[in-house]
Amino acid sequence: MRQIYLNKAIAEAVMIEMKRDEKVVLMGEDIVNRGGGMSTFLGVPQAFPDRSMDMPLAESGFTHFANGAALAGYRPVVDLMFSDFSAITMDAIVNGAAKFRFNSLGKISMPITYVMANGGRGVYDGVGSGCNHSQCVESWYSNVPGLKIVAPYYPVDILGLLRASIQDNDPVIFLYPEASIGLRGEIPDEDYVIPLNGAAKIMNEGSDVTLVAIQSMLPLAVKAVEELKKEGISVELIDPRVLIPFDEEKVINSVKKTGKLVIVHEGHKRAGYGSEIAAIMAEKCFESLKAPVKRVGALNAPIGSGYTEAYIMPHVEDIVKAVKEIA
Amino acid sequence: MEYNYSKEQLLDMYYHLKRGRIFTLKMHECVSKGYLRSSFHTPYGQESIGVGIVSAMRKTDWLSFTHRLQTALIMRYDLYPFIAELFGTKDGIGYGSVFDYHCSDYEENRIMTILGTLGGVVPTNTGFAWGLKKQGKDEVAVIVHGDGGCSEGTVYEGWNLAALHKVPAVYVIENNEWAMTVPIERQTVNPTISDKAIPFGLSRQVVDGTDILAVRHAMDIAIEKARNFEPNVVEMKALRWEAHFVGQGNDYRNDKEKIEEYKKYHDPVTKYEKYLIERNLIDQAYIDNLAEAFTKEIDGYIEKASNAGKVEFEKVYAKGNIYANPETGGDL
Repeated sequence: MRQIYLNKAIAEAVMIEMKRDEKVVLMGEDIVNRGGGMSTFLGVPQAFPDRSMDMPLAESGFTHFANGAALAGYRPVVDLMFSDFSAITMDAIVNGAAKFRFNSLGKISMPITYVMANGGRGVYDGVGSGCNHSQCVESWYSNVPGLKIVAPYYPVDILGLLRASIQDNDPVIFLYPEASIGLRGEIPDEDYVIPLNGAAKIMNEGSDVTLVAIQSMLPLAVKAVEELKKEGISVELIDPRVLIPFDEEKVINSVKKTGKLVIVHEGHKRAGYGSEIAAIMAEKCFESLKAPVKRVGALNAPIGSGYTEAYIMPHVEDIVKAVKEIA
Repeated sequence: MEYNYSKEQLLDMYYHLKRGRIFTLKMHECVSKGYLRSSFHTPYGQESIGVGIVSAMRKTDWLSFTHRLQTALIMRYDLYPFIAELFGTKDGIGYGSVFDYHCSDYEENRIMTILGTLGGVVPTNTGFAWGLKKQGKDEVAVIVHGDGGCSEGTVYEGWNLAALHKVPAVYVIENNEWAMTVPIERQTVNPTISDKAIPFGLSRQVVDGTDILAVRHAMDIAIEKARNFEPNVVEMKALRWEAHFVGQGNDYRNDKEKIEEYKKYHDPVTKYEKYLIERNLIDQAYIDNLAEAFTKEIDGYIEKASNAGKVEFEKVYAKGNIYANPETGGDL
């Protein structure tokens, strides 16, 4: 085992895949001088100068451009820095990449990975960068067939799932937690890839309530689980790691055991990804539910900057409260 | 201007121009018969643009198109499956699921994909051209878009990237002065759109798009430059004769006299026929025979396509058509 920072896990995954496949190219802003705007590709431009491209501050244009490179046979990794910025690139991702294979009746592939820093909430107060730099975008894309969405939190999962995303022949939205790029974690010494299907991971076994926590909510959920344990409530904590394809089976099995479900995500509560999980459970294991499903998410308000960001974000107490309400 | 094209080349262009016109007339007729499942955007008055472009391209070059460039598409796609596609049937190039707008062919016909949202087609296929260059392929991407599409900001992001990376691409602007129902003077202050290419570092030509030989000649120059990694723009000026699509009334057209003038003096087909007759390359009998042969051919296809039937669900919505790795695509 060795320790690695989250941003280094991203760089390492890209580096391994660039070594493995000469068609992998990296495109984005600040790539050459800073390894990307969030320094998540440090060392890549030095190791692969011919396949690391600086792009002008034109996310829409260069994301379309990267799509074209994929159509020409490349396997681009596109750094979009803040996931909020992908609003500008939605035409390329939603109207383009997600549809090209379908329009070719399955003849062409779109092997492309859009890497984005998602959300802003960290273990502490979060980055506080406000309404255009701290949003969670997973539910923007989850309504678009043709895309896959990967949202891990821990460095070990970032490395394994980013490798799988790059190797995948379909467009993948790869989200990493924005406020946790300095998170350190253990990774195994051997070469590994984590498959996109069946990716949910049981972080803590429990018997009273199932708690699904997405990405940056995981460290908060871990704390909540500890507090609840002291009060005699046994929580089964699940990290889905991948949202599309969503590993329904593990969550369903857990809900069948506990009969109770709380979902927590940093994204706004209304039509957030938790709504989808709640709906799946209502459809597929309604008879196992012994209490209403609870969702914990950011308030349905734009995100303020600085200290005000945390005002609308979920906290450990919110998770504890939601669990207790149905436990 | 006198051009240096062989008799064979001149007659080949005429063949496709005349075929394009008869195809357009026939499809127009089919809309009123209720045969077309897609909208039809008539290319009347600008059939020369599609034919001139494709005739200047090598078979190995790549084309992306507009919804009014059918005359180019039917030089690459076989005509029957193309008509069958417009009819929305299982015999179509995309089993009736892509029409003449979302089709692409990365195999033999070399048709690059486009986007129904317009502008993005420029940077997308610029990236494709970059990929051709990086792989050392001697192939050019010809990216066609309209005056309306040129109001999308992504066009300029694409042009900037093209100039920056010296991609082998030609950008054709099909300027027919109307974007849906918006006339050019309400789109932009400068009616010559390609002026905007200059500050991006792209050279440009402006030609009469109704003159097929002017189109061909400009494309010969443009493609040669692109092959030497000098991306450039060609603006083809024409006038849309009709409404945006068949079925939309054209009561908003405030240029009806100009339309009549264009039909009379700038009809790309009759103008080219006059050119060829004056040089004794064809005569009226040649024209009539060709027209009769195309009419017969297309009538046969219409008859066949109108009986072809719908495609079954699985052929279009197979999970493998949506995801290359369907096992990681989630439920349909």
